[in-house]
Amino acid sequence: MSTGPLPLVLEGVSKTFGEGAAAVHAVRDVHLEVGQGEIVAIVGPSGCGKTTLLSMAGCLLRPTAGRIVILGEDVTNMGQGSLARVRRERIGFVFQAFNLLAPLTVRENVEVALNLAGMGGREARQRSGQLLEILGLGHRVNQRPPNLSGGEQQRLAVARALANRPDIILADEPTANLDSKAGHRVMEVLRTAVEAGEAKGLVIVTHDVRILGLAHRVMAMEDGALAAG
Amino acid sequence: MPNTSVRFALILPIRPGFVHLATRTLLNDRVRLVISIGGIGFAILLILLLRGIMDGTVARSTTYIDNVGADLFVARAGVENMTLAASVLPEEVAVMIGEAEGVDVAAGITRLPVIVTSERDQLPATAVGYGAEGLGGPWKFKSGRDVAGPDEAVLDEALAGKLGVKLGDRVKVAEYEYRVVGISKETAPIAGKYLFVQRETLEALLGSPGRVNFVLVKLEPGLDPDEMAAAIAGKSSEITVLTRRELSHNDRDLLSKLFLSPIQVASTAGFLVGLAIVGLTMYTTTAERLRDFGVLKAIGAPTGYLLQTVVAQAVVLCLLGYLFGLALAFLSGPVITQFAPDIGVSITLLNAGQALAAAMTLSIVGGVVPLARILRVDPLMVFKRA
Repeated sequence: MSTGPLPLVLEGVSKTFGEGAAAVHAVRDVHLEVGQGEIVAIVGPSGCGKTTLLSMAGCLLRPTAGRIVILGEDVTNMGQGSLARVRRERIGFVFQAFNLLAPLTVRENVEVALNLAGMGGREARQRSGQLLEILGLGHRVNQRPPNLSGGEQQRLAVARALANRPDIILADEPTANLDSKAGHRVMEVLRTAVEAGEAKGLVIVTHDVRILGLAHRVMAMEDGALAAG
Repeated sequence: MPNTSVRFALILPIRPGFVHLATRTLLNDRVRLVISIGGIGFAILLILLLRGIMDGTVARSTTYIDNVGADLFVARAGVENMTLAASVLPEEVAVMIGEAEGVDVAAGITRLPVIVTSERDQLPATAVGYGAEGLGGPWKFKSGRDVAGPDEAVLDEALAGKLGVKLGDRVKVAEYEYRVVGISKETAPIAGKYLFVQRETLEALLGSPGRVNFVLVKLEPGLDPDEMAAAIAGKSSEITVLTRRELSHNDRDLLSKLFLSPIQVASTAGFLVGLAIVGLTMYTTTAERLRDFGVLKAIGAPTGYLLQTVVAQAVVLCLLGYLFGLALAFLSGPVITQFAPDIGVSITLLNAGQALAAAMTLSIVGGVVPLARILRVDPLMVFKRA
């Protein structure tokens, strides 16, 4: 792992939904630092706050307390427009449900992320082609997502997440809908991308014990609190 | 209170790819796309045809003035129209004008709304009585010849068709019976298709011999109609002299006013139908793809990009519908006039431009319909296990 600003720092991050007696403390005083080139896995039972934590780290949900810093930039109190910029330029998302855009082809699904960051035309085409080739989807560029297997769809989601060379990739149960072989291949792809510097860090929320071996560090979450696994 | 970002969304920097995304989203459900284009196309067709029929029909209503061959039209003082005008002149006016310098022919005509009866039917028409001067009668024949006797008539082809008469058949106007010797073309304004007879016959029918309604004037070649109109008008304070252009304009203006209200109501209905189609299509397209918009938001699409995408969808949809409607309008015009010769269809550049403006308005308004839903999309939906 290299040195430099940390891809992701969470300092005393908490999230409470509701007020008074009805308040639900989904995340409690979480401290987490993801180093350069580091892969962190977060495990825990359903409803323990993993996804809420990932949503806050991904600038989709504001914390009730604490601080979130992405590669040295404090994003905690940013406005919606700035948060959208951070998400498209500095964060890559991989979701359990893939969340690909069905009307677009494989290539266009990657290009849309590049377009959002302002890259278009030949440059976007080259970058998407290069990524898809690396991820083993070079022969499927003109297909639509529904025509791909689950493993291929998740690799496409990874390609989209990597398109803008993000500071951090946040993956929510990326292998949950895949068989073990496809899940393993997706994890290999993610690990290789981090090692190659295509992303500076990776946080995976998972139930899948098979992939924990690929993480540099495993954290356990229970009742909204995070502890070393 | 709308979000500030919404208000400025459409002037935010244009990012590449939103038109492509919009087009792909539309193409994703081709059946709905075809139905939507068809619906908008028919709404545009309705708008174009109603306007085109009004313009074409109004233009056709002055066919007599435009084609009879007269340069000037003389009426009683104060009369500015031929349609619905009460103009009566002594026959001597035609003689007086005929003697004026620069006048080639001056011919009095009598016009009268009549009911024409055949064995099959009874229909209203405009009877025109004209003389032997060679001016005032039919100018284009489908078949047959000009009238040569007091019991002969030339009928417009649409009128003859509806009455079920052909050359040699007999028709009646009041107690007078005529033998059809000619069928004329381009003589079918919607309110009163023409029946041509000798002037004396019509004067007798009216019971006012020696009276005409208008005097038609053909000038010698090369003379300026406006100058000649002024010169002839100076000869008598009892007459009004109008050029062909002036009289045609006056009659079209009058008929436009008569037609305008119902046409405007129908055009507005067409516009509202189109708006409803665009709005509904955009709403359902967006509603079905709300998750996609949530994904786009999650991966950092700014509000402006989403709005641009939706507006682009609406514009693309409306342009396709517009082109379809325009093509239909151009194709249906000749078909309509084939089956209804008294109806003209005139699709002008102005009308097409106005329909395009209507289509654009439809697209913008229709595109705005689903915006509220898109803006309410929670990007956290991406974490739901679909």
